[in-house]
Amino acid sequence: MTILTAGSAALWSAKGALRVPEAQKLHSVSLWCDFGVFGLSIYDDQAPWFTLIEVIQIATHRNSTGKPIFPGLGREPTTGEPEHEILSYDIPLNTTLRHLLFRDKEISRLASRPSSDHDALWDQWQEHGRREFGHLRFDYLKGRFQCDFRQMAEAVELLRSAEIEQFGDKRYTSRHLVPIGPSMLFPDVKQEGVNDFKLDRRFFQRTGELIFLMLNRSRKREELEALVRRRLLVSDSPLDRLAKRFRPEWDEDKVTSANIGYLPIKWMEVYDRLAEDWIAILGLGSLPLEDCLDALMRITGLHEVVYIVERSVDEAGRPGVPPFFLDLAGVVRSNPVFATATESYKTHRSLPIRAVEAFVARFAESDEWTSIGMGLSGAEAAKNILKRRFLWVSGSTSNPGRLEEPAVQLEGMVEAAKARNHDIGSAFTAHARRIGLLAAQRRTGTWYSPTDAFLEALVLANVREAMEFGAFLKLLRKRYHIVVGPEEARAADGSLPAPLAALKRNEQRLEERLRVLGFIDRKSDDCAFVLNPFHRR
Amino acid sequence: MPDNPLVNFLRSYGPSAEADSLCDEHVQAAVKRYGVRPVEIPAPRLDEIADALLGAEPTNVVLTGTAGDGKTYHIRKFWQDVLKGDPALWPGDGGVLEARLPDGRSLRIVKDLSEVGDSLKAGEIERVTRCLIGDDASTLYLLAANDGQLLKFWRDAMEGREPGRERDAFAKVHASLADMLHHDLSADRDGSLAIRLMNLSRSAATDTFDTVVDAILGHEQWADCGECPAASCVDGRCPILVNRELLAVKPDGAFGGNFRSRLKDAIRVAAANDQHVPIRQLLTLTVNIILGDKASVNGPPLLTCVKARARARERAYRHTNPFQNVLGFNLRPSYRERYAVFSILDVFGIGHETNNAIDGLLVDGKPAAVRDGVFDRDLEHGESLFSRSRDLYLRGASGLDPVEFGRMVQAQRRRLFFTLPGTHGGDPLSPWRLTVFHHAGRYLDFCDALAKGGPEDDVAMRQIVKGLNRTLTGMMADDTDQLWLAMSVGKGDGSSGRLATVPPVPRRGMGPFRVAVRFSENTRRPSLRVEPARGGGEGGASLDLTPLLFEYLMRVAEGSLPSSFSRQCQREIRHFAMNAADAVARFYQPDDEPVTEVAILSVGGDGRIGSRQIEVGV
Repeated sequence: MTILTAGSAALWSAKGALRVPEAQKLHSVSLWCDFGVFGLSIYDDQAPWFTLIEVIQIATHRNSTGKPIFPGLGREPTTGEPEHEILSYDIPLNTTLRHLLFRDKEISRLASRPSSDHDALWDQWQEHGRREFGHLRFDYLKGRFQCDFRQMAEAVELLRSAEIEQFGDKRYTSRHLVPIGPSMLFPDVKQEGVNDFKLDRRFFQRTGELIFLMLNRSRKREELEALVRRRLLVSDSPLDRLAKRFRPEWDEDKVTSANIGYLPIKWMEVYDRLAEDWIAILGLGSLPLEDCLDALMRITGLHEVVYIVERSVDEAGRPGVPPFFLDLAGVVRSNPVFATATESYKTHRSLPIRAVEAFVARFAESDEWTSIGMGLSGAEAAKNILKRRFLWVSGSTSNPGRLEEPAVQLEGMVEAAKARNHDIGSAFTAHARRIGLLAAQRRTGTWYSPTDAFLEALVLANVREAMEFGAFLKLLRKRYHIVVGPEEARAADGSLPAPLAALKRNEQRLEERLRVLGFIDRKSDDCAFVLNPFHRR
Repeated sequence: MPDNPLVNFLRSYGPSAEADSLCDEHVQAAVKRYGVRPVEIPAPRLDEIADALLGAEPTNVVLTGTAGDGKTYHIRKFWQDVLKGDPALWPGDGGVLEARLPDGRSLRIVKDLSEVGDSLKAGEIERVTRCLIGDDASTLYLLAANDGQLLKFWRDAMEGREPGRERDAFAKVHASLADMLHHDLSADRDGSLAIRLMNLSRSAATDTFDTVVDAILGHEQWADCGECPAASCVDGRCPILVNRELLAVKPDGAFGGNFRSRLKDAIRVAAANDQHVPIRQLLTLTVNIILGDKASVNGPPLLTCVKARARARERAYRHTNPFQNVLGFNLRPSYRERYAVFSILDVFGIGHETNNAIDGLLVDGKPAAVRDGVFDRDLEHGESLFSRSRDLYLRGASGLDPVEFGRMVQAQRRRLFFTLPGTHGGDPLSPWRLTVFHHAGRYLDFCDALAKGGPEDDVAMRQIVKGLNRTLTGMMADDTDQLWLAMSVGKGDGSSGRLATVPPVPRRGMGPFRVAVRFSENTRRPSLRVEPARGGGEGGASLDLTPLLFEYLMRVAEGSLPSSFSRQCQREIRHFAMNAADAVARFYQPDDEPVTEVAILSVGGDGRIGSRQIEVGV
């Protein structure tokens, strides 16, 4: 029996995928199916805001260490062949600020007291700090805020109002701010000791790393690099500088994320479109950075969702990308578009499984698999091959004498892939919801029905000069496979998925909703423009 | 008793299937049939067309506008009246008419680009493009198309080409047309296209309205009615003539004759809200006011002389009520919906909107001074229709059908809207209180003062600034002299906020920026601006003050929150404030030097906004 190691290079790979780097961390991976097709990893519990923060963390690290932000694909040193990037990055712990924002309850309490004796307030607060959190030092803050305790309290309140994903009872080390600047970033960690933090990947499971890699492989990366530096990495936002004011002089240490995640395909059009949208949104100079980031978070999530669909279609060898039919009414009754939008979602939701099946089926046809013999040795060989190629160890294989037939083992693996928790389909649903593309209601169902914030992001990313409404609809189909009205439905599908009048009404509802959002200028019955109020000519 | 042929002739302009489709041609036929001189429809831009094509610097003319704006009519007028073209040649082969201009150039006349056959259209668009970009100076174009189609043709042409010079030319024309249409410009911004774009939907709404009404009311053949007994009878007068007179009366400053001027104002307000009424619909509207008749099911909605005499005999003026006709209530609902003009007027909510003062006037007849003016006139549609039911209501009589009474009250409110005298300020008896645009009267005064170049209306400006401050900060602030460009930190769905990163912008005074208002010739609306105090004009941010937005700001300043349209207004205001804050910040930090302080805003006991600075460090 050969001794098999789960070497990354041996992993079965998707069509046209890059080799998995030798150093890829795989210790927590027990089934290489989703990951082989879509990358390592797109994770359902990593909310789109967290994805964006992860991207910005990487960029911030590269900037502060003087490296190019987007260096492009790696190169094999001898052959010069493109190969997967090998990157790691550090994230400063930012411990004090994190404590003040997300753990301290004394500042607000003391500041609401009628006392005007600031020295007393400082003393009481520091006394409390010494008692409860003896390892932290706050004495320098008094000088930073000119002894004005309330000013510090207000600053803390202001920064707290920039928290994102404020729901659930999360540990304080998983709470985050809008990533307006370098001082407002925190790593998502587990606290194991007083000053011992570990990057445990409870919420941040490299989805942002994959987005970073997509941007890095896009053909627009140089143009984007300049904008990212100018808008995201310089600390000229007042809030970020306010955050910086809390930073102690000493080094608060950092955690390191080694070996960036794995993104299989060298280049896809969606990488370019993603980068184009980042460029468009970051280029809106008069739009406050907070608003840019909100749009960026949604658009990035949208591209991720589109990536899952496109990658599935490609891997499964299907003829075309099924469109995203959006229902703009958001109601169920007497609304045929609701059914279309529901169907459309169901189709997409089933695609990743088809892709995984195709991924495995392709392996099943390989010589390596078909040449496996029958009987006990065949079953043993199959087990080893599946371990080597897919990291798969069936739960029922403790007794080598009771190993199943190779085909049954393979099927068992596919079934396990389908039943996996946190699979790619869950991420698809969770993220589509969080960005405001997908609506889910108890008893009603789940269907594509965009929120206003999502529509806003679409406008900000796609409109520069005033654009005819029809041209806007066309662009949405071409860039995101999004379909709203009859004309684009016909162009996408060749047929109408719902009655013409209903689709027409759906289109009018989109216009109406954009109008209420301040993005429409209707000139006549025949002509309406979509506007981006933040575009500077 | 001979009927007046003018009445039947006018019916052909009214709401009818034929009149909807082909106005120009249809009217020609009606002229022949009734032997009546046609109503002189205005062609307000004819001189401009002639000037562009025949003037010192001839250039291509592109006419656009919604259906019924008279594009074809303008072009035919130019061909027949200015060029003295042969009517027999009209409208040319395949939709294109070739002519020669006095200076030797050839002129290609396309009365509707969408009517040019598909096989020829691509070639024609290429030719037009060459002329526009200056590759062919030997030919000029006079061309018309709806705005949306115009853009679509060039977009399709552009998208149908591979990248290259031709595609670039189409793209250039498309981009310029879009820019001109969007910003209501008549020439290309950088002057690289030889074009004069005339959007007939942007002609001054009020001039056109007067011309149309005058043309119909002033037709010489009304004189034929003189022989009709129904014309002179005091009690039971011809409803056609009654309605015509109501529309004709000039405002007398006191009472009664405000129908025409009020309607004109309403159309003006609608236009300022980008709800344009085309000429063809103005004709329909005017005819419907005079001839409208609420017939029984499936009966004709317009009076004939015979029907009018019958109505007069029965004193059935409730069926011919011009204050109902003006809103299209003589038409079946499904039919009424087809007319843009009625849906545009519907937006005002006339008949549904009211307040206690106005309903008090109607039911209790108080105050007496106003009552006398309203009740003593126009008895046909006022007292004689309403007094009996009102008395029953006041006595609490059981025989009164509440639904029917409600309808009567609505009809009376409509009449009041068109008859109450105009007032200034916040008078509860202002006719505009009968619409959703309570402050429309003020809005028009505000516009007029600005358009005349007079000093800005200080009271209105204070209210505007107050409304803006309240919207942006979300606090009940009373500041009227400076604008706080407040924002929020967390992105709370376009919500208001209490954080300011730039100092407030004063309405007047010394600061480097100021809040100002200017009248824009392009949009014919006031535009609120945050602009540099020196140099003015350029730089800064602007907010288009539509009647809708004006209404929103006034109501917010008065302490109420209009729910139905507030969201859109809030969003527009927020967009404006973000752009303004950016412009101000760039002024203070020209070298991208960061701000060092932010302000937290709060309202003090005096209602004024105070700020507390937080130093953010460098």
